Amino acid sequence: MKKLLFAGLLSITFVSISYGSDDIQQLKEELKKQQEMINQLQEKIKELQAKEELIEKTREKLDNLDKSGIDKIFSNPSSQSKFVPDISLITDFSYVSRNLTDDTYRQVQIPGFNHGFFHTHDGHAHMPFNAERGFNFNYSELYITSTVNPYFDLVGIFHLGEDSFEIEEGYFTTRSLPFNLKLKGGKFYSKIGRLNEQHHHDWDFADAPLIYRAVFGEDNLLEKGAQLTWLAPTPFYLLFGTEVLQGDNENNFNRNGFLVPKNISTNCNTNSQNCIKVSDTKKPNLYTFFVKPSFDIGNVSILAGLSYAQGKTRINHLEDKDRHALSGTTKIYGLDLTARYNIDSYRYISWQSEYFYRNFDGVKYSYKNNNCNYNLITSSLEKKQAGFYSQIIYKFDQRWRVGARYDLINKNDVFVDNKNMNLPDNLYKYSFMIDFLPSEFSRIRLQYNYDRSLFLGDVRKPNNEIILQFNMAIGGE
Amino acid sequence: MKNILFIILAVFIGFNFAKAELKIVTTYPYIASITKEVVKDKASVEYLAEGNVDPHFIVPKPSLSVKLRNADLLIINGASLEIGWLPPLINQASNPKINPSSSGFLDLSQFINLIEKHENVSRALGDVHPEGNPHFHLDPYNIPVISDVITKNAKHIENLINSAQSQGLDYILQDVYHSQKPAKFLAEKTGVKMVVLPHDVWGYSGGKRHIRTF
Repeated sequence: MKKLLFAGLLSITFVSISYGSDDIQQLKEELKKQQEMINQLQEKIKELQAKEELIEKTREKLDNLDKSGIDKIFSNPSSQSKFVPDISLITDFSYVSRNLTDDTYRQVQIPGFNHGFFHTHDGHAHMPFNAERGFNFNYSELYITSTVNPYFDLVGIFHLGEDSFEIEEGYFTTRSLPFNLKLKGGKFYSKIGRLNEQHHHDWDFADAPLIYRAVFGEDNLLEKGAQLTWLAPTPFYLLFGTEVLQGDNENNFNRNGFLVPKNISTNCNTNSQNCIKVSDTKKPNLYTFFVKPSFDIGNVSILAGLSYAQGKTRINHLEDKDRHALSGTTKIYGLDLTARYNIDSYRYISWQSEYFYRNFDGVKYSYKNNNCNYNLITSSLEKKQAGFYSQIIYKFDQRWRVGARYDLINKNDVFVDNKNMNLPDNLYKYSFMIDFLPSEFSRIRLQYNYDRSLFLGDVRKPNNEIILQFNMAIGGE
Repeated sequence: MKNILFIILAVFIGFNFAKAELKIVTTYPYIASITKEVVKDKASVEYLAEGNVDPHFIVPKPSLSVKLRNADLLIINGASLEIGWLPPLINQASNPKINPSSSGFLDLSQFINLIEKHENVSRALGDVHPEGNPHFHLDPYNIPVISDVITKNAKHIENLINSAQSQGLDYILQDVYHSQKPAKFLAEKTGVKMVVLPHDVWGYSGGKRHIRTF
């Protein structure tokens, strides 16, 4: 029985073994297939991974594009819109009430200095601010400024009157000169004095100080030329500067010569031998120098300035009713001092004064009536004139300022053939203002002027004036 | 007269030499104190605005542009906080090193996630900062970001030298618009060749075996 069992078991085992070896073969094949499949899958995964990586990277780039739909729609391959310069518009509008009628105001003069605020030589000077009683649209000023390249900045300031366009300033400045030097070229306000460089909307009063209007006229010293400034390496602020200018200022310099007829009836175009030729000046004609130191004492900042301007003078009034012309040399000396006490972030008291002295030395051509026969007289002319203003501004609140200004022309010596003409020399003016700044982009100012500098002939014409000024700015300025 | 001129010149030159160390100027005191922690005694750090005044309304006194005149690095808060007072000072200082967008000018707001960005801005909303709220230093978690940025910037040249030496660079790239001094200095220090190109044309190429200093 045991044997039988053994034999049976053996046979079963044998059979099972023989059967098993078949099975293993099958299993092996199965395994091989699966291995292949795995390999294939792995390859596929690799492929997919590579694809996904590519997609991911592309998507990253696309994400970095960061363009909204509108950008795509309006895309313009040659668009330079990212380089739009800073643009701003400033408008000045005023309401004026004064006791002088407009007719009188147009004729009054500061004796020895000007022929009235409205007098022009070749008709291009712009109207004085607040010219008429009632409403005045003084200007809209358009500023466009930007960096040109790593080397230059460019500024354009366009003065728009109701029916006029004027390039008020247009200049470049350098960005990368060594030794703290800066060069400026084009048309710009000279940096002499304290106020000369500032635009009307930066002034603390609605009008320029008397001495500025008397000496430089309504445009201040606005010239074509070049300016070099140097910030000296001192522990305090010390700026040196010099300018070479064409000499456009019609009150002091000018540069074009003229023909003076020996008799008023002579026409110099046809009969030039009976005329005196006054030649053009050297061009450029005007040179200026200035030094501006500044330092702080506690909360008080001091800014001072010394200025000098010199040029030849060619003033041609031969077309006027009272025909005359001037030729000579003008020298202007300026001194300014500003002290500002900063009480806190919003309040300050500032005291600002400027003094100008002008010396003209030359020849005056005029005509003498001799029985209705006007003959030329040539006389020597020397002018020694000086005056100053002094003002105090108190900003007593973040939005409110008050100010007072005293103007005085205290020297007005005009010598014709060494004889003093005894022109009035106590020309003065008081101004008071209060202004409200709803934000730094708008200003509403009320100003009162009492002006004793204006004459009609020999008669003093006191001027009481109230100006309500609205000044607004939009854009980047 | 000649003697006086000589003395004046000597005094000016003396002032120039007295300031030979690296000079960093910041607009606000908080930036200065972070910078001071970063640079320790390796550079002098000055600030323009006093800490006890409204940061929007700083008086651009001429004396402040004196501080900027010799600065090697100007670090500003940015996001229009200085818009009302810094531009005229930079203009007055006539210092090409710290012109905006040069390597000596660092605007921190560029590295911060600003909050309260306006979708639309109009002056009708009053005084808004179009870039977002600029007072980011009041969030303490922004301070490490700021100090990191300042560290990277203050150690700009040092970092360049390190990476140049460790990566085995082929070239130091230089464009024609920027000062060549830093690139020349780096080339001398590392012995890597300096290449001047009209533009930064290699920025896209796969190999990163080049470096630029501007």
